[in-house]
This record gives sequence, structure tokens and C-alpha cells, in this order.
Amino acid sequence: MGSDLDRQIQTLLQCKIITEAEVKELCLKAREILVEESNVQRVDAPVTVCGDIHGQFWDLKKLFEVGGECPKTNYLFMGDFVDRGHHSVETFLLLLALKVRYPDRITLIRGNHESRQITKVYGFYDECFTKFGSANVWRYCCEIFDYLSLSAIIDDRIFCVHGGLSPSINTIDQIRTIDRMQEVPHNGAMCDLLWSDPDPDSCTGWGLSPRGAGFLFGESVAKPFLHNNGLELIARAHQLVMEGYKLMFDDTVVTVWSAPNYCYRCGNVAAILEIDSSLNKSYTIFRDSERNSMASRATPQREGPPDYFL
Amino acid sequence: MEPRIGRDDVIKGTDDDAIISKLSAVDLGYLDDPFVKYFVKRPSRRPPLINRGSYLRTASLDNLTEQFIKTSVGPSTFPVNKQIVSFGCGSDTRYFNLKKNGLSVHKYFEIDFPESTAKKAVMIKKNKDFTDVIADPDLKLGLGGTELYAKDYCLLSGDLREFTETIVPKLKAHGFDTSLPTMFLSECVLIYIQPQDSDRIVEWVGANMDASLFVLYEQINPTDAFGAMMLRNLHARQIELPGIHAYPSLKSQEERFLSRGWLAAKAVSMNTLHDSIPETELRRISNLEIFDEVEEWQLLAGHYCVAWAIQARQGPPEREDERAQLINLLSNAVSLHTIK
Repeated sequence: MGSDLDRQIQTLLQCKIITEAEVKELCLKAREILVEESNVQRVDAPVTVCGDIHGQFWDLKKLFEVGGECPKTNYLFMGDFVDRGHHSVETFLLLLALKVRYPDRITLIRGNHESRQITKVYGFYDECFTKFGSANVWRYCCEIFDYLSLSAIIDDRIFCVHGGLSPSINTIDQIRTIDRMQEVPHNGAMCDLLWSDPDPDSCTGWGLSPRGAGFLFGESVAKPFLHNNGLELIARAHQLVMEGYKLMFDDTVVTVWSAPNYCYRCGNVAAILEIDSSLNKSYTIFRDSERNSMASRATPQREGPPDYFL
Repeated sequence: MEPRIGRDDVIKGTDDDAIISKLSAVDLGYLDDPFVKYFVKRPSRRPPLINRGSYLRTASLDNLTEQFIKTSVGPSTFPVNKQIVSFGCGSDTRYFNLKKNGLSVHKYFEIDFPESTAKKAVMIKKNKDFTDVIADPDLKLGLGGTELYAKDYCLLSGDLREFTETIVPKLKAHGFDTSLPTMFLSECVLIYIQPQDSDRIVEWVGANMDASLFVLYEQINPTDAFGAMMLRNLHARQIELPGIHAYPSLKSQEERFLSRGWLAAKAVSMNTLHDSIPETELRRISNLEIFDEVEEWQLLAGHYCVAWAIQARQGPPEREDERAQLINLLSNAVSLHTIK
């Protein structure tokens, strides 16, 4: 079986799909691993922390070129593997196959796009249907989404989550008690962890989010949360940052964005956060792959050019 | 002269793209427009941020147009005949929606390439939903089916690059009156022609109309990272924006009018217009579909602007009162620019 998995990884690395039966089996194996993971998965440094990928497969390959291959480099991906880009299927299945092959060398936590409802609007559902002729693969993947951990802690000091904080959560232990095996709810702690954003303009704690889910949290919320939980940094993704990463609140919160030229339209660079064994942090910036730039010239309708108002 | 064939076809294609986006926004409930569906052969659901942009663009320009139609002069509120001229109208349905809602002007002119107007003229002429709104028994096709004439509506064919030579005489032949307060509308149109051609239109309107309101919607900020990628992506689709470098910012959009003697001009980005959506309306559209493209939306919206300018021509001293009233009328039309 090990060799089957290696062969599937080789196939996926070429941005080619594996069979529906193989996906089903892969998901079964992944489930066995993920079900054992905590809502706050413990990760040891050194580790390379990555933000949103959004189906930009060739840019994920570029990320591995820049950051080193898995398993040589230990990776933590903070969600939003799917939707928006042209290759959500290949992207998520590759990451999942690597997870099954090297469970201790890659950590995947859930983003707000790892959801049935969101993937129906933003592309993953349609892509599965187009590439496999049915919604089965989408269903298998959505079941796996429900098993993904909600957050991670690196060496007890760095808290990693897709979105941010929740007014319902004061301690890390409160996250541990969430029943996560479900579709992302519309409100409550689990929803907030995946949807919230830091608000650099807010001096008062909590604000309404323009996304319609989660909250905006200010410095006056972030700093006490870190202090009370003995943490030094919140690393999160979720928001496009033109410069690839953005530090806030006296370097206590960082946004890491790993999808260069997001949606083949935004012109941004991407970043990964490398944390060494002494928890020193360094950011590596990278530009989009050649293949990304070519996406705007793609001819098939499904891989059509990005939209503008004309 | 640049090669016209090919390039012009691409520009005409942008109308199909825009109208599909508009129907997507209508079908999801962002906009109310019972006419747009007749112009779309293959409907397609657009992503939420495109729907929101289509909504915002249409609602903003609708509102400016409505204000222009409704506003009256001073406390006396004597009725003033007004005109609207829509450049590069494509499949635009604004005339029909306004009139269906009881808002009409003395004369509404639409101008586009003959290939576009021919399709539109036939569609309107054969469809009772359109002819009922026009409500003119004398409605007739002209110029080989590329034009349509009714009492308060004229669809004319022509090339905006020949504005003074061809378009103006044609307008005048169909009842265009330079003494009436007139709104000129350019929705992603002037940016597709060379600046010297669009400048000529702005200059002619400013110098020859007694009172005019110019409203345009187009792309800005071509040199930042998003803007540069936008031009690259559009170029890959063979779409060029010759006007964008001449008027790349809000300030330069205002200057294009002010430097040509217009009385006042204002340009705002779509982000500013989005911020001005009333809370109840924002809640309504937020409930229509998931919207998880906040940062991308702000980038995209920051690269589109709505600009408007007003001008009233200096006349003889004994008519100065009248001019003041017209300026007042135009100012009233743009003072309430936000979406209702």
C-alpha cells in the first residue's frame, strides 16, 4: 500500500487526478489519522507555517520549492486549501496524501472554505463535478473537512488558527472541548476561529465583521488572550495581504498569506513563516509561478480568465 | 489611425460580458430589471464580488439618473424638459426601467456601433414588454434596422470617434436640443477610445450645451500591483483601455472636466460608494449570498470610479438668472448621489 500511496503522490504532484476509488480510500486513511488529532494540535518547531492556498496548485509547488519538500521540511497549513483557484482537487488531495504518508511532518487545520456551503459557492464543488462526473469526491472531501483540527500550538508558544479569536473563548482549553466533527456552524466559537479577523483600527475589543460571520478583534483582546494562555504570537491566515504577511499589535498577531497573484488577478506576493527550533521567525516572500500567469490566457471555459467589470 | 476591425469587435464583446453579469445580479435579487434577460442567450452565475460590483455600479448610476430626472428648479418647481444621452449603450436597459417606474425625460438618446444597435433595435421592436413601455404607435426602425425612433426614445448608430462630424448632426436631426438640461452617460465607454477622442466629446458638450451633467464610470489606478495585473489580464483577452493612463486617478478624472471649463467635478471610487450604501440596503444585499471576498473586493472596487461634472454655458447677461437656476438644478441632481 505504501507504494500505491507514493505513486498517487507522484501523480498528484504532476497536477493529475487519481481515481475516485483511490480518493475514497485515501479519505478513509486520512480519517483514521485526523480523528486522533486534538482541536488544538501540538506541533514541534522547527516548522514552516503557511496561509491560504485556494486551489492554486502551481503556486503550492512553488511554495515547496521555496520552503523545501515535505517531509524534509515540517509544514503547518492554516486552511483554505480549496475554492477560487483552478486546481482545488489536486491541491487538497496532494496535501491530504502527504498527510497520510507523513502524518508527523505536515499538519492541516481547517479554514472557513473547508465547508460544504462555501465550496458550493466558490468553486470546489463545481470542480469536483467537472473532473469526476459526480459529486462523490466532493462528498468524501467534505467528510474529511469535518475531521480537520481547528488550530495548532507550536512549542506551547505560538497559536495558529485560520481566522482568529472568539468572544466565546478565553482559554485554549475551551477550544479543546469543542465538538468539531460537523459542518462549520454560522456562529459560535468554532465559526469564529475560522472566520474572525484582527482589526488594526479598533482600540475597543470586539467588532462586527463585514464578512457576516466571525468577529473583528482588537489589540485589547489579542494581548490579554496571549498573556492568559502563556503565548507569544497568534499566526493566522484568512486575509489577502499584498505584501504576503502582515504583523500587527506590536508583533503579537501575524497574517500569513500563501497564494501569490490571488485568483490570477490581485498582483500580490505570497509568504511563508519559517520558525526554527528556538522559535526565531523568518518570512520568505515568493511570487506566482509561470503557470499562474498563464491562467489568464487559459482557453477552456472552466479555467477562464478572471472577471472584471467591463 | 489604429486598425478598427478586431479591436472594435472585442470592445463590443465587453457588452455581452457586462450584460451577463447584470443578469446574474438580477437573478440573485441584487437588482430589479425585467428587461435584461432578453439580451442574454447563455445566463451564467457570477461570483459574489462580481455580483456586488454589478449591483453597485448600476444602483449608483440609476440613482444619479433618477436624481437628474426628478430635480426641479428652485421653489417654483416649473417643469423643465430634459434629455439623456447614453454613449456606448450596448444592451443597457435603463430607459425602460426608469420609464416603467414612472420616470421619463423629454428625449432619451442611446448611441452605439451599428452592429450593437441593430441587435437591440430588433429585440425592442419585436417584444411587447419593450414596446409597451415605449408606448408610441409611431415607433419605427430606421437606417437598415440599426436605429429606432420614438417620441421620447432614440436608438442611434455611430462611432463616438466621429462625435462632432457624425454623431452631433445625427442627434440634432432627431430632435436633440442643446438648450435643454442634458445628462450624458458613459458606462465603461470613453476609456475604450483614445483620450483625444474622448476629450473632444467632453469639450464639445461643455462648450455647446446650455446645461449639462456628465456621468462616467470607468477603471482607474493602472500602475499599482492590482492595476498592472488588471491591464495584463485584459490585454490577454485583447481588451485595451487606451484612456486609463490619461485619467489614472480620481483627481485626474475631475481635472479632465475642470481643465476644460466645467463648473464642478467630483470622482469617487466604488469603495466610497459602497461605504455609502444605507445599512438596511447593505443588510438586504448581504443576505442574498455568502460574501467572503472582502479584501479582494476592496482592491477591485478601488480600481473603478464614478465621476460626474456639471457645466452651464455662459449666455447673454439678461439670461444670467436662468443660468443660475440651471446650475442649481444640476447641483441638486448630484447632491444626493448615494444609493437609496
